[in-house]
Amino acid sequence: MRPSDGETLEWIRRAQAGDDEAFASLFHKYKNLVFRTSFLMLGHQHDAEDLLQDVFLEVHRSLRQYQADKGAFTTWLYRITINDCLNSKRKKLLSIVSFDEITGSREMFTDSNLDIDESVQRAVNQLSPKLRAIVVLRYYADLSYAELTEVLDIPLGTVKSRLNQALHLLKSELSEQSECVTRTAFLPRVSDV
Amino acid sequence: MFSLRNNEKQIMFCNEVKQLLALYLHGELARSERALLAMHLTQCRACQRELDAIANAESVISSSLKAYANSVAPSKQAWLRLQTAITDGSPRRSFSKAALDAFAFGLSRVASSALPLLALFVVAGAIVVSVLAYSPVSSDRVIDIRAASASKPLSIQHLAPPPDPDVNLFSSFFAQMSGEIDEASPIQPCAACIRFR
Repeated sequence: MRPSDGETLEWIRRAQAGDDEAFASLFHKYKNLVFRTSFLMLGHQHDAEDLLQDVFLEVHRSLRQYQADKGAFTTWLYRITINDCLNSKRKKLLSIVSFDEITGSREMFTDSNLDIDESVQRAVNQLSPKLRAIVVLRYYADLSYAELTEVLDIPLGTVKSRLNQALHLLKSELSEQSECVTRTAFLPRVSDV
Repeated sequence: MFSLRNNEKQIMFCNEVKQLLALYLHGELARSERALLAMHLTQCRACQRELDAIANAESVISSSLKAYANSVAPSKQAWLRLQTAITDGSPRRSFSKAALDAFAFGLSRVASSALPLLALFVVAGAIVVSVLAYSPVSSDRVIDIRAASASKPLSIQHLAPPPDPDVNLFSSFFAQMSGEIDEASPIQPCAACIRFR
């Protein structure tokens, strides 16, 4: 478990005592972590912006309950963020979006200029919310298995099986996309015929 | 493909190995499983290729997610919005929630103003109905059924014809109304029927 750094702990202590400047410092230090995790989970910047507000409002409300000796501040933040992403309000946003829905049509992926970052994000968007959460936390946030169990509040065995399942799904989806690109790259263009 | 270890019946097949490759890469296998899997990999090129593919996929996924996430940042107004929300002491409201709240507020206002009026209508209606239904019949309009039947038969024009004249209940009733009063019958014309005759 990665401990919180001394600066963060000092800000937390002061913010818990009601120091608004310390809370502002915490916000500015961790806003990107929350915003980007939400963005990867929800897929839209506006929703990520809304979630950033919700998460820090929650942090402001319950910061007094945070105990540094029980876990790192970032683990606590990730837990609030992921829970907020998975809550019922945003389930519609987290529902699995088909590949064609996102792109308008699969033909878009026949473009050889396919952006690999976007294609990975699209493949992640196809995962169920729970698998998406574990992929984002593992491969974006670089959380260990122990941290994953703590953030997601699930047993180690479940972490292992979910991660394995998500990885195999992503691998097959990405290989399918690359095959699609490779196949069509050799097709003559309509204008060439 | 499988491996045997120290003549023990510990066999690890390829399909089993493939399920454990990610855990092997992450160092999350128990020592005995790790040794068994490592031995399998030295003998199985297919599983070795699968291991490389998973490692490559993980690397691509991780770097892509990081690059994609780092391409966005929260707006400059994020802190101001949060400050406002904290100062207001209310949770941030999205547009849809704000619209829903406005509708609920309007509905509550309408309900709060309309309910007393509705209650007034109900009470007034109840009073009117009770007055009409239970207003005392003037003594000069009270008709003794026996006297009336003796002078002339009661008219039953204000009544709808009976649906089935064979039904004893109705035939008895209409017999009474037309003057053929059977005192033994439990059915007697009510005061209202007589009053509106």
